[in-house]
Order: sequence, then C-alpha cells, then structure tokens
Amino acid sequence: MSLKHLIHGCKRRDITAQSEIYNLFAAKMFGLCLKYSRNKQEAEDNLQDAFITIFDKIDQYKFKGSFEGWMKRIVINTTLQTYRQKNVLNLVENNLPDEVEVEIDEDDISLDYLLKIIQELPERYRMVFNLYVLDGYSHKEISDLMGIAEGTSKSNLSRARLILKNKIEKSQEKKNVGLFT
Amino acid sequence: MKERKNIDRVFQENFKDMEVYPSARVWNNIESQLKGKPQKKIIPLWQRLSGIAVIFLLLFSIGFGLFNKTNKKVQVQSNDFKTPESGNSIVNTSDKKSEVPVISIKSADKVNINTEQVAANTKKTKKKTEDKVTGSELPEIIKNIDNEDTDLVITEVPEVKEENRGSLQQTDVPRVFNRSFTQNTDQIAEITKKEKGTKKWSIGPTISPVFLNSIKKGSPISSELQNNTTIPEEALSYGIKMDYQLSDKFKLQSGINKVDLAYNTKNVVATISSSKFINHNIRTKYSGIRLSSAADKPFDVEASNEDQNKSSIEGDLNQSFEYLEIPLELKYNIFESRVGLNLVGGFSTFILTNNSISMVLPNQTTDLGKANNLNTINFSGNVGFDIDYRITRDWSLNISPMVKYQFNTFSNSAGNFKPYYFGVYSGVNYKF
Repeated sequence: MSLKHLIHGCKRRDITAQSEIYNLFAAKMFGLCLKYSRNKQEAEDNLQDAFITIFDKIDQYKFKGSFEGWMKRIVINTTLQTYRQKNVLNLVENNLPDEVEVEIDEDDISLDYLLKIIQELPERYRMVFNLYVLDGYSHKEISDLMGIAEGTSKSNLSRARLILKNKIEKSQEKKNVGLFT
Repeated sequence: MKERKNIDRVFQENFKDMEVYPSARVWNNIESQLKGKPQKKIIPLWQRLSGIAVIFLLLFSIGFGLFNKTNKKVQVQSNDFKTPESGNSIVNTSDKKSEVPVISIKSADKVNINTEQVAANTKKTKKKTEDKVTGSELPEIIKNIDNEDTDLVITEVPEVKEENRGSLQQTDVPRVFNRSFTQNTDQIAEITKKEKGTKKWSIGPTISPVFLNSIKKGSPISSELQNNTTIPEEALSYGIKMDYQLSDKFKLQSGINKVDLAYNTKNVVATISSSKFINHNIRTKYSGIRLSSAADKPFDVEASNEDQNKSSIEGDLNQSFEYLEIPLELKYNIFESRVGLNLVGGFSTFILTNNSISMVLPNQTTDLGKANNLNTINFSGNVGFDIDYRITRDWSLNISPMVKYQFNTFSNSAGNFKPYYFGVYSGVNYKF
C-alpha cells in the first residue's frame, strides 16, 4: 500500500487507511506537539485534535506539496489555537540582540533537558521560538498566524533565546561547581 | 568539550526529526471520534464509586441503628393474679438461660387485653380499648400493634395448668413497648423479648463457576479485533461469605472471594513483527505483536513488506484475569420457611492480582504477555437471587445465581467491551 493509496483511503473515510496513516506519522507529529505544548498531557490532547482535523480536512489536500508538510501545518495551527485565546501582554522591546550565542558542552546536555526548558518558556515565547527557529516560519508569517505585530514576534524570539541561554549556562555552572568541590 | 554556539543551532540540531510515541488512548479517542461516538474520558470513576460506597455504609449503619431495639416488654396486669406458689393462674417462670421471665398462656385460654395508645409528645392516653380474646389470637394482635405508643396490657388470665402450658413465643411479641402508665399494678410479669436471633452473624464458604462476557462487541486488547466474536470460558470463583442480620427482612452480606475470569476472542491471527504498533494494549516480551482478525487480510504498508517471512499463528486469543473480590450486598427476604427466597443487590470491589493474554491453538498455547490497560481496582454492580435451605437451626445451605456487571475494568477500551459475569454461588453457612 503506497502513501497515495492510503490518502485515497482516508478520503473515502476508510478507518483502516486512517489508522495506518496514524501509525506512520503519529510519532513525528507528537514530537512536534511536545515542543509546542507545556507538558505531555497537553501535547497528547493537541495531537488528538490535530489528527481529527487532518482526517476531517483530508479533501483539501490535493497531492500538491509534501503530505507530511501539510499535516505539520495543521498540527501547528491546532496547537496555536489552544494558546491564542489567552491574553498576553504585548511587550515590544528594542535593543535586543539578533544573534545569541551560548557556551555549551553538548555532551552534557540531554534532549530531555532541552525539551523541558522549551516547555517551560512562557506561552508566546515558546510559540514564536518553535515557529521561527525549529519550523522555519518568517516573522511575517508568525504575525499572521498569531495575530501579533511583527515587532512583537521579533522581541518575543529574542527574549526566548535569552531565557534559554541563561538556563543552559546556569545548569552547566551547577555541574561544574559540583566537580570542583 | 565546550564551545560557543548559536543557540538556534543547538535546538535545531537536537530536535531534528524528533520522534516520540504517544500513549494508546490518543488513537482510541481519535477512533471514537471518527466513528461518531463520544470519547472516553479517563475520569477516575472509581473515585466517584468509592464516594457512593461511603454513602451506602452510612445508610446501612443508620438503618441498622433504627432496627436494633431490645428489651421490648409486655405488661401483664391482673387483679386475679396469684403468686406461683398458690398454684393457680399465671405461672411466672424465668427462663434459666437468659434469666428472662416468660409468660405462658394456653392457646384456648381467654385473656383480656387492654390497649392504650399514648400520644408520644403529650403522654396523654388517647384511646382505650378492652377486648376479650383467646390466647391463640394474642400473637396476631400483638403483631399488629406496630405502634411504639401502644401498650398491651393483659388484664385477666385464667388459670393455666402446668401440663397444658403452651407458650407465648418470644417471636410473637415483636414491637410492643413497656410503659409504666398504670399505677395499680398488683403484680407485673414482664416478658422481655429476646431477640429473634442473638445470632445475627453467619459465615460460610462459597464456590461458583463463572462465565465472563461482554454486553456489546468490542475488544479491550486491540481495535483490530472489535468485530470478532467473544465467547466466555468457564472459570472459578471461591471464597468466604459473611452476613449480618440488619432486621427481619434485610441482611447485609460481604466476604472475600478469589475470582478467575477468562474469555476467548475467536479467529485471531498473531504475527511477531519488528515494527512497533501503537494500538494494541499488550505488554509483551516480543518486540511487536500484530493482532488482526482472520476475517480481514492484513492491510498495512509495513506488514506487506516485513511480515511475509515472519511466523504467524491463527487461533483464539485468550484473555484471563485474577481478582480478589470484596462484595457488599443487601439481601431482602421475600419469604422464609425451611426454604427461603431472597433478592440480592449491591456492588463489589475488585483488586487485580494477575492477568495474561495468550494464543490458544488446538495443540498448543502460546503466552503473549499481559494487558496494559487493566485497572488494578474496579467495581461491579451485582444483582441476583439467593435460595437458602435450613438444615438445622444454625446451619443452612444456599444457592445464589448472580449477575455482576463490571465498571471501569479497563483504563481504555477498544470498542465497546463491557464485561459482565454470571455465576451460581453455592455454599453452606453457619449462624453465630
């Protein structure tokens, strides 16, 4: 069964085809959800909603462009909806650095830790960081998606980077101190 | 080795193509939604039910308190009363066993009864009736005096001959209370009602074959098997039953049982495969098990490529559970004689002690693993009958067909598998 056949199966609302699509892509989509959500539970709820939307809107996919990319956009939109309703202060700050560098010993830092600090970011910063850095959206696209000004998007990104940098460097400091005492 | 790196790069590289498996409930909810049914929310149902259990216990203890009256007395007053020494009239004997005075009235003797109804709050006597009745009618009359505010006074009793002594059974004087409202009492003999049984408890072993099945089709093991037929497998429940008499008609029963339940899903194909499948609820030592219905041919991208060379077996999928059951039921007595019929209703708490899933073929059984979606604690609602046969005063035999419908057996369930089981519990009890 090729992917094309499975997609056609989904269009026919064939549960077996739908379940196979889920089996093939759930893990990757869940990885995406985890980055955008605050915790595993929320990520699972988002994944669930996303797939239901995917199966519901399958007719809109016309085999143009990657199917995986199409699904990813739906997943991201679903997660954004969860957080769009919440009111966040519109802080616009200038004079924030564009390039942020961090002192990091990559052997010491685990994926779980990186995921954790991303999940701990304040809502909007997390959304913007993920969209820009990990999923390649531009500030213009982000401002359209999230209903915020471009400037806000940029400053949110900078603040997110700084928070993450501080956390990483602090956690490494702790480890180093431990070594020498 | 430390280096200075662009923070964006750090995250991009680490999160590239990150894949994490979500839990099975996600697909189950998606599937339910796709099929147009309401989603299963994992609300801790057992929390709600334990609240109900507490309420039940409170109600029982209140009911027990209300029904538990002792020392009911009948006042006997007679001007013709003669002391036992004179040899005439009422014989006032005491029951050596419990040191309770017993009045004996022969059935053919005529007695006068005087009933007075006293209003509870005002303590004023409202109605006075005087009747002459035979001794044999007395128990009936006494039974009908249901009212706490009515006292029965036997004002005149003719002589009773020793050898003709019948006795006013303790059981015939159910609810008559003693009030000292008469001042001119020559001699008062009191009948203190002994409780019908100070033997309120009974205990005994029970054993039952049990048959497990589901009300609707479905499979808690895999969504692929929803439409397969399930058949019960005979299994056993045995344990100890204990009951306590709350009142004449009601008994509270409890106990502890070990219950082994099992059922088979027919026409299942099991294949061992290296790819990981998310929708089966089995915790197994094999890297991956595909379960599918023999009715459909495997419809899967990966299966067609990988599983052609792997072994697969077809047969019945057996799921079995072992529980410790603690029932709490109310037994209502419909009629009682040597053989009694009772109606039973209540609920049980189940504690899972073991479970297994295996493939059963005509000449072999292969153990696959354990289910990972079974709740350790769940509840059932029970209803049924109880027929008991009294062998002696203290011993009786009983047979009780019961149906128990389980709630919350599985933390998630593929399809609509709602298990219930039917058993015929038989045993003996001993009163104490």
